[in-house]
Order: sequence, then C-alpha cells, then structure tokens
Amino acid sequence: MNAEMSTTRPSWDDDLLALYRQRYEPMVRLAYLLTGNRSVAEELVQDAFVSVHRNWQRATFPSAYLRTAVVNNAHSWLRRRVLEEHHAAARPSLVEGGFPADEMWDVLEHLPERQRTAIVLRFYEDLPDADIALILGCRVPTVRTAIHRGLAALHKEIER
Amino acid sequence: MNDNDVREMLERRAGEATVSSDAWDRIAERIAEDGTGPTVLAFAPPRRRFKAAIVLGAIAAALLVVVASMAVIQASDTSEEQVRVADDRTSPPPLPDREPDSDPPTAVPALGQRPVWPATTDEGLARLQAEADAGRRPDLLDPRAVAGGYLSERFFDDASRRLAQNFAVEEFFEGDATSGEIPYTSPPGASTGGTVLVRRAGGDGAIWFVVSSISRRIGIQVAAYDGKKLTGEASVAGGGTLKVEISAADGTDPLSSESRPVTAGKPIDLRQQFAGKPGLIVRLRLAEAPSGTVSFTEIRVDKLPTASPPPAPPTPQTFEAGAQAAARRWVRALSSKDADVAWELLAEDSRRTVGGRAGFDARFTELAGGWGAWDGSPDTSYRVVSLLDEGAGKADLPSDLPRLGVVVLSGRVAQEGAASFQTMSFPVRGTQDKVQIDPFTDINIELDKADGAGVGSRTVLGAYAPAGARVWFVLDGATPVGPDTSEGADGDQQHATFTSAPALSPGRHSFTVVVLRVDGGVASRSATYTVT
Repeated sequence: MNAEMSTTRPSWDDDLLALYRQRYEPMVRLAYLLTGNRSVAEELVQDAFVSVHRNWQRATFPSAYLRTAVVNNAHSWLRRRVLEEHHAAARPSLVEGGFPADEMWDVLEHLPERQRTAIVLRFYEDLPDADIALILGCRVPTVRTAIHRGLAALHKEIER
Repeated sequence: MNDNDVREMLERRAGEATVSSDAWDRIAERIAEDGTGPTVLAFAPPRRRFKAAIVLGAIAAALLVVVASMAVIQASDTSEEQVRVADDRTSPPPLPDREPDSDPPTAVPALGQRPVWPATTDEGLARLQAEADAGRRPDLLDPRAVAGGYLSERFFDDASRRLAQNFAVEEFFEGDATSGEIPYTSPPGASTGGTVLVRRAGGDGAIWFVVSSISRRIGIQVAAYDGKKLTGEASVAGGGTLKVEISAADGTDPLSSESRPVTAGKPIDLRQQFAGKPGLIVRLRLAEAPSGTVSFTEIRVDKLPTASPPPAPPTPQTFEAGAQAAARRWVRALSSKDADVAWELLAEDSRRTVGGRAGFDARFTELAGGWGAWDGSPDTSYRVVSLLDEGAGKADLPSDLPRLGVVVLSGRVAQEGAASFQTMSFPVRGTQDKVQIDPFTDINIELDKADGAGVGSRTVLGAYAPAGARVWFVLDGATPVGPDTSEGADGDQQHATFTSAPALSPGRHSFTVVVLRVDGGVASRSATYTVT
C-alpha cells in the first residue's frame, strides 16, 4: 500500500509516539483540507490517534488506519455540520476568516463530500485510486468518477 | 486550470493548518480518558474541547448518545479529575488498568428496544394499546405527547407535588416508522436537557413508548447485567447530588435507591447485586449545585444471554425474514470480529469483488470498524425491501437471478466518539435455502444530495447510475418505486430522479437508491435527508 506502513511493532507505546512524530502534522493538514477548520482539524486528528491506540492490536497498518480514521472523522464532522447548519439560520462558511479569498478553494468547499475527499487524497496525499477507494469504502471506478466530476465542477466554476 | 493548479492550491491551503505545541499531551490525556473498559450504553457530556468546536443545536443531544459497541469514552471536565501524564511529556501514557471480568458476557442484548415508560412489560403495553384502540389514550399515538408525558412524570416532585423543573419538547425526529427521538430542553431554552428515545411495535395505530432518556449532563457506561449483578459506571458534567434508582424491568418498586454527592468528571461506580431479574431500569437524577438544575438519564439493561452457544437460528419463513436475519448476523459478525461467519454470509459477487478471502481479510478491520458500529445501536431498524417478486419483471434478466432485496438500516451510530443518525443499505440475494448479503460491488451510484443534507419537502431527489440499469428509489423503507425521470440512458450513465408524493414531511428521512444491472449485479446507496 504505502511506504510508510510498517508490519512489525515491538510495542505500542514507542510506535504510537513514532507515528505521532511522523504523521500528526500531515494528518492535521489533511483534516484541515477536508474540513476547512483549523481547530476542528486538530481535534479530529487527536480523536483519530485515540482510535488508533484503541485498535492498536487490530490495526495491521497503523498509519493507514490513522488516515482512514481522520477521513472518517472529517466526514462525520461535516455531516454534523450540515445538520447543525440546517438548524441554524445562517450558514457559516466552511473556511475560517482571515485568509485571502481563493476561488478554487471556495468551489472545493461546495463539492459533494466524496468528491472533495477524493480530490484531496489524490492531489494532496498523492494516493493511488486503489488506496482512495479503500479509505472511502468504495470501488476504484467510483473514485475515478468522483475525481472526474469534482475536477469538472472546479473547472466549470473557475472558467465561469 | 490543470492538476498542478489543484495541487498548488491544496499545498498552499494545507500550510494554513496549525499544530498545537501540546498536541501530544492532549492525545495522551484522551487516551488515558478513553480507557478500554466496559461497553458504553449511554453517554452524556461531550469533551469540552470538542464541544467548543461545534455548534450546539437541536441535534446536540444526538451527539451525546453513544451506543453499545463503541469503547468507553469517559466524560471529561478539564478543570478536575483529569488524568495527566506527569513528567515524561514525550512518552505515551500507560494502558489503563482493567479489572478482569470474572464472567465476561458473550453478547450484549439489543438496547433501547424495550420500554421504560409508560409500561415496562409487554402486558402493560398491551393494556395501553387496548385503551388507545378504544380511543381513551390518543396521547399515546403521538410521540411528542408521549415524551411530554414521560418528562412530566420524571420532573414531577413528589414532595412539593409540583413540576420540579419545566421543560420544552422540541420536534420529533423520525428514525423510521417505528422509532424516533424527541430532544428537549430543561429549563426551556437552556442548553441543558436531553433526548427522549421512543419506539412503537407497529405502524399507524400502534402506541409509542419511551425506551430511554439521555441527559446531556449524565452519562452511563454499563458493561452488563448478567442476572446476578449490574456492572457499570456513570459520570456527570456538573457536581451536585446524584440519585441512583434501580428497578426491576418487570416491576415498579425500586430495588435500590440512594443519593450521593458527585463531582464532575469523576467516575461513579454503579455496581450492585440484583439476582434473578429479567432486566433492570437504571435512573440517574442529578441536582446540580449551586444552580439546582435537575437532569436525568434513564436506560434499561436486559439480562445478557447465557454463555452457552446460541441456538441455531430458526429457518426463516419468508425471504424478507431471512434477509433481515442475515443482515443482523452480518453486522453482529463484524462487530464481534468473526470473519468466518461474515465471509459465509457474503454472496458470490461480493466475494469476487472484494478480492476473495484474502482481500476480505485484508479489509476486515476497517469493515468491522464501520459496519460493526451498527451492532448494539439502541434504535437501529432493519427494513427489508423486496425488489423483484418471484418470476415477475425478470424477463430481461439472467434466468438464475435469485430473490433480490435491500436491507435499509437506520439509527444512531457511534463512531469515533460521537453518535449521529445514519442510514445505510446493502443488497441481499435469496435462494431456496439461504439468504446472502451482497454489499460489495463495482456499480457506481452517486447521489445528487450529500448524506445529511437538508432538503425541501418537494425537492427532486436524484442519482447517477449506470445506463441501462434498473433504478429504484426507497423512501423510509417504503415500497420501492421507479424513477420519475431518467436521462442519459444512451450514454455511460443515466440520471434518475424521484419526487416524493405526497410531499416529504418535516423531519428526517432515509433515502435509498437501488440499481440492478442487466447482468444481475446489484448495488444500493443511502443517505439521510432532513426536511424542516
């Protein structure tokens, strides 16, 4: 799957710390790209580390497990956010204030969840379709379709 | 715009993410809080940091309900009783000590299925149903009225003979035709309150009953009631006096009642001996100091099955019954990490799609984490929808195509520390002697509306599916219907649409799209939509 994956783990503590040192910041960046919220991104990644710890004995590839947990956590948060917005009068922007407007980022924000995630995993994490499919729990053709549609939507909006 | 533009944008944006200097400490704290202890039945107070990161709205109560299959997450109050990693800030915390279970339960019975109010027995419910049938208890046919009646009783103060604390019942969120939840605030409009979970045994005309009530201020972690002793733990979000009252599920008189001072975040041991009861109802009533705010959580814990091997499941009499049984066994097998049983339940197409047994085993941990979370969910419904009647409508399909259906699961599912209402579905195939599930497919279905989206009552719902395939829409587990429109059938994909008639009612709805390809391949995709 990935070069970072390891199949031998002498003990959970040393390796969990090593995993943290190696993957915490990249995962926070990934979570931020998926959620657009810096504080939530850290929360989700920390939750993912707890999940990795909880399932350490069962996780064959902790690094991959961690990434999947981060993506799942981000999806859960986004779903909750959709519901919360539904109950709130105003729809807050996904992106926190203080940053310059970025048209492409704005479009990405409004893509369907699967398309956005697939694009981030492909173009930021540089994952192959098969790995993205594994993380999203779908087939490779679904990933390709999601990326294709997502890019088409980005292109359409940018060209508009 | 090309791929590099996208990469550059993502790299630039990713650089905006910030990392706390104490991140490892916080992870270590969470791991220490997390533990690996008893199964969680209910959980109220969220972690403060996470709570601060989300907007508490009407659905907040749903986030606080954590169901049986997830690991314990202790309530935390960062001001007190926190487990800290003292000196070595670069070392992970030790694994939490666990008291070995003397008689570990082999399974947890379905939670949230049995009544706690207005009756706790089948006989009591039958009597009330008869009264409702006679027109004397119309209130029991309205889930909000049932929740209101329940809350009135629970907030009633025996001493003053008045309502101890007022409350406001919010909208009814329908899970499916037989279950749902009613959030409430108490005092009205305050952030305190909770959620009343209700069920009914049938469709229209069946009375609603309360199966549990979850406060935002009180969490319960209960391992089991094995017929002899209750083991469990509670925690509160605010200090004060906690009254713990435990009754037999088949009686009304409390078996135990005691009040004790409690501190926020500090575990409260609920272990007690109760021999020979079919089940227990656990009520926790918290009076916080100095505000005096009253909160309560109430759950029912039925006796665990014995440790002897479970009897062989009876042969289902119908395809639908067999499909439901197969779906439950699938979820249970994933929850209990029984890959052999799960593999046996898989249809041939899915086995092939997943990459054979080796591919299945390689993905099993992730599958178990996702699907297994549905096991033990207190209010999950398994709705089976038949797609093709025997011999009917199969003329253009393979002659050996078995009975086909879709199982739609709806309910609150806890994953990664929070519970949310979700809908999931998967196809099932039935032959003369067995029903197998077929969740893995290479058929792509893409819904127009993302899962969790809000929609209008007359929103046109739609999906992309392979051209030439049959498409059905299933709304709230009802009879599948074909699309209103289908465009693009001459290309690679078709876009099929569906509009509910009559208009969608306010509340939550499960929406499932089922696709049957001409070669017999079948797939489904589901989402939960909310109409306000």
